[in-house]
Formats: sequence, C-alpha cells, structure tokens
Amino acid sequence: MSHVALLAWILFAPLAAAALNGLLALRSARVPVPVEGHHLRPMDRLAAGIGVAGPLAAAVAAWSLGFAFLARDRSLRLTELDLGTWFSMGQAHVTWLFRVDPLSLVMVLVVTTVGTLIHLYSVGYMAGDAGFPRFLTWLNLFTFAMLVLVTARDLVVLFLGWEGVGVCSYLLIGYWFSDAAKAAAGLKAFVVNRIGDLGLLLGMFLLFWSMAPGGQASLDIDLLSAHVTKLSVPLATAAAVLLFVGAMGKSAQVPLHIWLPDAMAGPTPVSALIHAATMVTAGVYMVARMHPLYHHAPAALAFIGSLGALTALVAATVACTQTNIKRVIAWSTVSQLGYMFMGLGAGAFSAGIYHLFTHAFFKALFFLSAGAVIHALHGEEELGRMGGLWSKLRVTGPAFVLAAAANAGLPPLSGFVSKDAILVATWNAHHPVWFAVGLLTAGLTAFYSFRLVALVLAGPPRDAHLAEHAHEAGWAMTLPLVLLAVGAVGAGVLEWPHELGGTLWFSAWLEPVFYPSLDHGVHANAVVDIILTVGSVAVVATGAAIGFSLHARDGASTGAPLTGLQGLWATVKRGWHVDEVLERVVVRPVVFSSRAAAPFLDFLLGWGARGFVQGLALAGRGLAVAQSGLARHYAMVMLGGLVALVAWAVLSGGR
Amino acid sequence: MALHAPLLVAAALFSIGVGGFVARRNVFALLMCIELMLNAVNLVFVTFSRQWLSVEGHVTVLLVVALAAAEAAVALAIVIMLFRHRETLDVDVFASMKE
Amino acid sequence: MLDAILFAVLSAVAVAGALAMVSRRHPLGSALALIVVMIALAGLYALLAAPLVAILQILVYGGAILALIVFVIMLLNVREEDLAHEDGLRGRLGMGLTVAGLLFMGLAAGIHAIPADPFAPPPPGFGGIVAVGRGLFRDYAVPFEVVSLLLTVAVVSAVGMAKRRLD
Repeated sequence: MSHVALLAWILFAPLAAAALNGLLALRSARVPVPVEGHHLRPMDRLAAGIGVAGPLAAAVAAWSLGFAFLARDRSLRLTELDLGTWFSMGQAHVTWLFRVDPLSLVMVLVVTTVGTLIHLYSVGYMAGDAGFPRFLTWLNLFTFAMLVLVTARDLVVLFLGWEGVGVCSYLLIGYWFSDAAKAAAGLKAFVVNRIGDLGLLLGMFLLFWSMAPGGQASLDIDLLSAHVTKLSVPLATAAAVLLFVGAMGKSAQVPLHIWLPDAMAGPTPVSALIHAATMVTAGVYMVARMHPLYHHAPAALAFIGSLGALTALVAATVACTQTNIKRVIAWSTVSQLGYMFMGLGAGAFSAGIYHLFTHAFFKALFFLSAGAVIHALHGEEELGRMGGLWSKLRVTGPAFVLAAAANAGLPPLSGFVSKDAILVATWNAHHPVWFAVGLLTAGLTAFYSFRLVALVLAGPPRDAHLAEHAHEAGWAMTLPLVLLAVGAVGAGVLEWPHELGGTLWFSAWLEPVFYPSLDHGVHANAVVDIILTVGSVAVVATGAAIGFSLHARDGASTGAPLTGLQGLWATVKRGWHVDEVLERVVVRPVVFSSRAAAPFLDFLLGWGARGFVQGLALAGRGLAVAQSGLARHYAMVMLGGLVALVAWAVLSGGR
Repeated sequence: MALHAPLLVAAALFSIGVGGFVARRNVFALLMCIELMLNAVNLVFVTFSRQWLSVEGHVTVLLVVALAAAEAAVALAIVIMLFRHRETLDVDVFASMKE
Repeated sequence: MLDAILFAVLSAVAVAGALAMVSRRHPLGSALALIVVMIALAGLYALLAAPLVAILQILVYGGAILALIVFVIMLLNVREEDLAHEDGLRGRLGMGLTVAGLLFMGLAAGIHAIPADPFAPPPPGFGGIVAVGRGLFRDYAVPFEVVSLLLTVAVVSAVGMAKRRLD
C-alpha cells in the first residue's frame, strides 16, 4: 500500500468504527441488559469486535508506515494526505491537509498502539454495562479526533481535533451521567479546558494577524515555522505564551490542572487512554510542533519550563497524600506532564517527546493495572480497604509493580531513561533550579509510587472480606497488561544513554524535525552526565525504599506517616487548596458580578427581547386579519398584485 | 385588421372575468369567470398565431381547452359535494382555509 | 371591410355577454350568457384564420363544458334561497369592475406599445385540420399525451368525489 493510503487507513479506520458503533449504540439502548453482570450481549460482542478492529487497523497501518519510513532517507520521511479545501475566506485558506512526519508518527504510534490495547482492555472492564456500544463509540471517536490532532498540518484543523478530544473526554468522564458528581466532573473538565482553549484561539488569531502584513497570513504549521523568525520577539513571545495557555488547560498545568484529578470519575480505561497516555499530552505535542516559534521566544520557553517544574513538584507532593488509588495516579500524571514541559522549556524537545512516549506506556500500564485491582475488588477505589493482594493477583500484581517502578524512574526501566534525559537536559541548559526541583520531584515520585505498591499489594489485607473474594480478570484485561508491561520495560532501549553503552535512536529519529544543534542533551559532558545519573538514581532509590518500608508494615495507615506532619498533610491532600483558592479568587467574583449584573442585563436584554417578541405578536395579529379564509379575498389580493405588476410594466416602458 | 383589436377584446374579457371573480359569491359564477379568463387567454394565443402565421398557438389553445374541461369536471364534482354538505352555493360559507 | 364589421359586431357581443354573465344573479342566466360569449369567440377565431379552433370551441366549450355546467345547476335544483346572500352585489360588482377597468387600461396601454402592421394573408390550409393536427400529433405529441393523462385522472377523480356520500 502507498504511504498516503496507509495514512488514510490510520485516520479513517477509527472513524468508521465510531460510526458503526454509534449505530449499534442507538439500537442497544432498547435492548435490556442481563441482570447477572459481566456478560456481553450479542450486539455488545459485535460492538467489541468493531471497536477493537478500528484502532487495530490504524495501529497496523501506523507500524507499516513507520517501517516504510525507516527504509527511507531521513529527509524523505514525510507523507501527506490532501482532502481539499475546508474553507477559503479572504486571506484565510484552510485545507484538510494531514501530514505524518517523524514527530507525528511517534504520536500516531502511541495513540494507536496504546489505544488498541486499552480498547481491548475496556471490553473486559466494561462488560455488562448497559451503554457498552456507546462507550466504545466515544472511545473510537476519541481515537479519531486525537489522530486528527496529531496529523493536522493546519492549526485550524489541529484545533478541530483538539476540541474533538475535549468533547470525547467530557462525554467519557461523565459516562455514568446518572451520578451527579461524575457528570459535574465532566463539566468541570470541559469548562476548565475552555479557559485554556480561549488562550489557544487568541494565540492562533495573534499569529494569523501578525503574519498578515508579510503576506504569510496562514495557520499552516509549515508556513508559520518557515516565517516565524520575521516576527518581532515580543509578538512571538505573546503568541507562544497564549498557545501555551491552551496547552496548560489540555495538559493540566498549574493552575488549570484542577480538572484532571476529578476526571478520574470516568471509567478506568478512559483515565488510562485519555487522561494519561494521549489527550493530556496534546499540549506537549502542540508546543513541540510549534518549536520554531518557541525557539524564537526564549522568554516563553523559560515560562513553560518554570511552570512545568512548579507543576511537577506540587502535583508530586499531592500524590503522596492521596487515599484513592486512581487519584494518586492522576496527580502523578499531572506531575509527569510538568516534567515534559520542563524538558521542552530547557529546549530539549526530543527529550520531552521521549518522556511523553515512555510515559504513555508506563502510565497506561499503571492505570490499567490499578483498574484491574479495582475490578478485582468489585469497584473499591479506596486504599484504606486494600492491601495484601500480591498473592491473589498473579498477573496484575507484577504489572502494577513494574508500572510503579517505571513511574518512579528505577533503572533499567523506560521511565528511568526518559526522566534522566530531561534532568540532564535541564542541567546542561543551565537551569540548576529546575534540575533541583526535578531531582526532588523524582524522589517524591519514587516515594508515592512505592507507597501505592505497599498499600495495595503488601502486608495483611485491611479488608479481609474484599481480599478474600478478589479474583484476577479475564484475558481481555490481562493481555493488554502484559503487552504494555513489555513496552514500559523495553521502550528505554530506544534512547539508552551513550555512557551506558546505548544508542540515541529516538533522538536521531526526531532529528529531521527538531534542529539537532539546539538539542542540548546530545552534546553533554559524559562525566557530568554520569554523575547526574548516579545522583538521581540514588535519590529515586532512597525515595522508593522509604515509601515502601513506611507503608508495608502491619497496620500502616493511609494518612501522614509522621504525627508531626498531620496539619501539612491535610493541606497537601486538598491539593494545596488550589481549588478553594480558585473558587475564592475566580469563581466567586465571577458569580458575584454576574449576579450583580443580572438585573441590569435582564432589564436591558429582556426589555429588548420582549419588545421584539411583542412587536412580532402585534404584527402577526395585524396580518391575521387579512387571513379571512375566503378564496375571494385572496383572489382580490392577487388582482391587486396583478394590477401593480401591469402598472409597473407599463410605466417602466416594458423594460 | 391588425394585432391590436383582438388583443383589446381579450384584455376586456379577461378584466371582466377578474372583476367578476372578486365580486361574486356564487360558486357557479366563479367557475364561469375562470372559464371566461381562460377564453380570453385563448384569444390571445389565436391572435398571435395569426400574427406570426404559426400553428403553435392553435395547438396550445387545444391543450388549454382540454385543461379547462378537466378543471370543469373536477370543480363541478367539488361543487356537488359541497352543496350536499352545506346546502348552499355561497363560497363565503366555506371559510375553512382560515383554520 | 366585411371582416372589420363582423369583427366589431362579434366583439361587442362577446363583451356584452361577458358583462351579462358576471351580473346575472341566478347561475342559469350566467351560463346562458357565457354560451353567447363562447359562440361570439368562435366567430372571432374564424375571422383570425383558425377554423379548426373555432369549430372545437363550439363543440367542446359550447357543447360539452357549458352543457355540463347547466346540467349540474339543474341537477342540484338550485332554489332562490340556496343562492348566495349577495346583498351588496351591485356595489361589489361596481368595485370589482372598477378594478377590472384599471387592469384593462393598464393592459391596453401595454398592447398599444406593441408595434403592429396589418396581418399578412395566411397561406392556404393555415389553421386547418391538417396543419393543426400535424402540430398537435407530431411536434407536440408529448404535451398532448400528458394532457390526455391529466384528463383521465380528472375524470376518475371527479367520478370518485361525486359518488362519495358525505356523512
């Protein structure tokens, strides 16, 4: 198959699956669900087949394209699918142009590969749910929207995918919409993301407007990249920061991170796919995609890196205190996203993208194994009722430990390699503060990861009854765990450091996209690198040891490990009260001023609207008089029209 | 003899038909006014056929006559039905278009 | 010259018949006035070199359509009290004919604007059965068939409607 055809498969196989499952979902709403849970109706089996086949076809096509690219010269690793013009207004020409280059392909591979495994997992996880085909519809649709996002060549099309994944995220967080709290969580995610999207839109407008005088008024990413250096630096910085505001919303950076922990209300496969592996990394991808703009605006890069460092640290502290298994991992995701932005801020784009890549595997594995634990405990998510499950879950247990170790960054797992690459990059980019924060965060990460392992798997069960009835899930759930575990372990090979006898394949792969000269990590001093690496491993190992030993004891609580810390612990557990502060500083003033303005606006708008309506009603009553219902009167009106027409024709001389 | 005279006759007949249509309330009168208007138009067709010495106007007239016959048949059937229904020929009684 | 006199007489008869038709209160009187108009029109057609149309006018209009109308009027046995309450008939007729007069003046002005020469003499056989038949059945065969279909539908529906008993 030609490369373009492969790209078409990648894009449209998930879309077709979403469409078919959508039809099934319409049908299935009318078919009753068996009372005994975890059984698939015949139509659910069909939906499962379609829902897994769509992303699987895309994944196969993506890997074929990847190997075809490998066989080519690196300057030729590019494929474009042109589906014509979307709209053309004035200077704005937007085309349906989808493009795969090495950077896009990394994203496509992550989305389709991890996506397929999570689709398969959700067949097992969601079996017996009344809305099974609907669930798969949204999941397929999400895959399509995400693929549009990462392959679009025009920022407007990218924005379409951006909003598409946002909608699917909203629909899936609130999937169990009959639970008001879950529906509210979906709404929160949607609204917070809108704030970010406003920034993204303003950034796009600013770019378009500022490029217009040079005759380059386009939002085509390649054109923008080629001409971005003509912009004045303050203008470029403003546009870059505005675009990053969009990324802050989507990728949950402080202070717009508040939606992500609440998003855990959705089913666990959704948390794994959307809120860990793919959608939340869209901001990272977007910034990396626009890297020429950010190179041109160093202040914006510094802002990104600083905010990333802050997010990484804050979220890691919160993760240490959570008592809900999914919320720990959610905060961990926020923290890791901060890491990625820190890497981007240091100019190490390929290191940031590499962390995105490995994170997709190990965090998806983390979530899915956590989901398997929850599944085994019949929906229990509180750490206070877990423990002692190691002997019960022979597949999930090791997978969970592997995911935690990779998340912590223990060598030789993939998380170690990518996290280390970012740390080294920050040091080499002369950002010692970021490095220090990163190191501290690494320690905290190891601490909460192994705290989680200890609380879930080790020690005696806190709830004997639940542990007694715990059981391993079926193959549809365990197979993805095994495959993702392979990825989480093996992905490190792609960027194994020189100093440890490896080759930087991943950086080399992305080199045609990012300027290699600006990739600080490549030209580092080997001795310094080794010292830094050893240091970070020591910190990580210490954190892991403390985290595990403190919580693996008999009767270990889920609260503060030291009594003196309880006050601080409570504050951190509430997410440093960011939600409350935002509530006071943003939400309440907005609500208050809305309330204050309401009567005035009511008067103004209401008066206008009511006046308009009353005017219409009056005119209607006036015209109704003419509707006598008598054919004769209608004929009279026609006659009047006829006379007027003839008069006009005569008076105008028949012209 | 020239074009103007027959066209003026046709215009007069058509105008009388229109005036009668808006003035009368009797179903039959309305029906006949319509026939009158159709005939006025036919006269125009025949006149222009004469002017251009083309037979197409004649053909059209024949088709119009057939249409008039169809219209009369249906209209009379409706009149019969309405008369049975309401026992009147006054069209103003039939104001159901208002609803 | 004879043509012109005949034309003037027939035109006068047609217009007078039309006026009589709209002003008769009983439909039977109107129908009889309309027959006069039809026959006068047939004469005008004959003067305008349309003999076939003239004959068909008398046969179809005078013979069939108007006979049908008269037949229905008599079938319904319309009595005086069945007639419409046309109290202000005279006034409304006056108004209607005034508007009609306006329309006529407009149309007349339009007609006057058309440049016109005296009619050229028609070729032999113009407007005869052969010429019109050729036009009708060869050049305009499709419209003819469509109209015959329409006629069939109309007859069927008329019978269907007239037969139905309303409860």
